[in-house]
Amino acid sequence: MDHQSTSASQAPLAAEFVNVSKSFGAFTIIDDLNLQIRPSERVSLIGPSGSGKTTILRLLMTLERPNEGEIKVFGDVLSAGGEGAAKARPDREFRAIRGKIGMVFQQFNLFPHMTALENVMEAPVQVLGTQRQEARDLAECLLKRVGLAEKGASYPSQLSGGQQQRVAIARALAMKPQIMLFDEITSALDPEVIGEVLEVVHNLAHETKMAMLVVTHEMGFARDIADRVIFMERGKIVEDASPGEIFNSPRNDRTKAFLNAIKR
Amino acid sequence: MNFSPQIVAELLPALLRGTVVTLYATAAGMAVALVVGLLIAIARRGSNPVAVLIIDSFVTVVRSTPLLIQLYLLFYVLPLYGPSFSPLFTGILGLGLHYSSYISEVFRAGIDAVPRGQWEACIALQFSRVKTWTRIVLPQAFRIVLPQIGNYLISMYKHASLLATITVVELLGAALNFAGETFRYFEAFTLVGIIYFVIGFAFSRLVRYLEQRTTYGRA
Ligand SMILES: Nc1ncnc2c1ncn2[C@@H]1O[C@H](COP(=O)(O)OP(=O)(O)OP(=O)(O)O)[C@@H](O)[C@H]1O
Ligand SMILES: [Mg+2]
Repeated sequence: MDHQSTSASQAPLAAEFVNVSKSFGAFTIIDDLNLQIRPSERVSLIGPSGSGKTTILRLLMTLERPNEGEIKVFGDVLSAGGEGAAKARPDREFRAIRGKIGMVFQQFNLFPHMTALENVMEAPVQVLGTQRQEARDLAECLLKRVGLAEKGASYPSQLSGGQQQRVAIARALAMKPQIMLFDEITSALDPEVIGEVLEVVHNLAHETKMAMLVVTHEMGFARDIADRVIFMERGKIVEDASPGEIFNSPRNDRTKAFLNAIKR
Repeated sequence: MNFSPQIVAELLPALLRGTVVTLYATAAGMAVALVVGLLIAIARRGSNPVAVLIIDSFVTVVRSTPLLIQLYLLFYVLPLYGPSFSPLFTGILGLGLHYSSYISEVFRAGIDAVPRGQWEACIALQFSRVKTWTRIVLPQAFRIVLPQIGNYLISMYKHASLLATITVVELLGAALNFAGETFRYFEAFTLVGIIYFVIGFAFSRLVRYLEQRTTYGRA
């Protein structure tokens, strides 16, 4: 992973955390974090509960704001804490930067008052101003891609958890993000439908060039999907290496302890 | 005293005209209450402390005083210092503002009942604030509060009889006029009671129906 310093000067990083800290009340959840994600890179984020994995994704999606440091997306400052927070950018500019990021949530967060197809069409139509017919074609294509061509007319309440999560993936894809965030997208699912959702993400990894930041407790998935695995604890990155290294020969004792605890 | 069919025949047209006025006042009053109630609910979530204080004061005063007094103030006192409106318009305004103070609470609870994940999905999909409200939050909140709004509609429909006291010839007013002229209180109030009941019963059935279908995709 040493080629990074040479290639970074040409293409901007997809996402970059520079000395980012985030605290809730007295608790520091993200502690002076530096993280770089290159375009098209697939990164798995693993670590014990409460270590701050979700918070990293939420910071990148601007669902949370940093207290300190700077978060950049393709070279533009997305959000900043401390002194940097003062120079707020115009809304249009900000949304153009944030628009490069998409997110799939643990709880799906589908719109319950819309069918699967409408869920996928809604943002292109309402946000991007796409023509309805064009958005419908796109939505049908995306539903097909996640294996739900037949379910466009169903409401979320009529779908299984695995199907709902696949609709949510299609919905996020409809905005054509360049960085996709997955936050434990199988944790709310019954064991028998986890496979179908992971398969969809695997296919995406093969078929697209999106950067992916994947938080998961499924270690097999974390290993297979990633170019790079980050183990974190208490708001800090403990080890950042290739999947082979992390899972076969972790250097850090805490990484070892975590992986051993998970195996049992 | 006998129930005279002839009297009923004389009375009925006036009562039906009154019914139309009552239904019109209820519908218009509810429209005012929904719009003002929604604006109150949204403004209360805002961060402007002065606006929140003014709105809270309005809601508290309106809720702590009888509708009848509010109607008198609007009809007899307001014209001394400000604009004067027709009796019916005044009545609609009074009903609407009175109920807006309750309906704003219903909306507030309905909006709060929309899960946080819905707002976050809107951010992740780049929705503007306006689109977040109009496309995602309010449609779900409306669905949640519909049965309660229905109950307030029934209540307002009955409360609309107070408009008789500010000279609006709605259903009760029509009965009072007729009884005052003919002294046939028996027919007038029996009939007016029946009409109130039939329409009110239909309303309450409708509300019960709405209560039963609150999930999506089960129509
Ligand atoms: N809005 C919030 N207010 C207060 N504390 C919060 C908030 N969000 C997160 N936290 C706390 O921050 C810590 C890290 O949370 P985070 O969700 O990022 O962890 P995680 O690594 O995703 O854990 P898990 O594996 O359980 O999902 C937790 O202790 C959590 O309680
Ligand atoms: Mg988490």
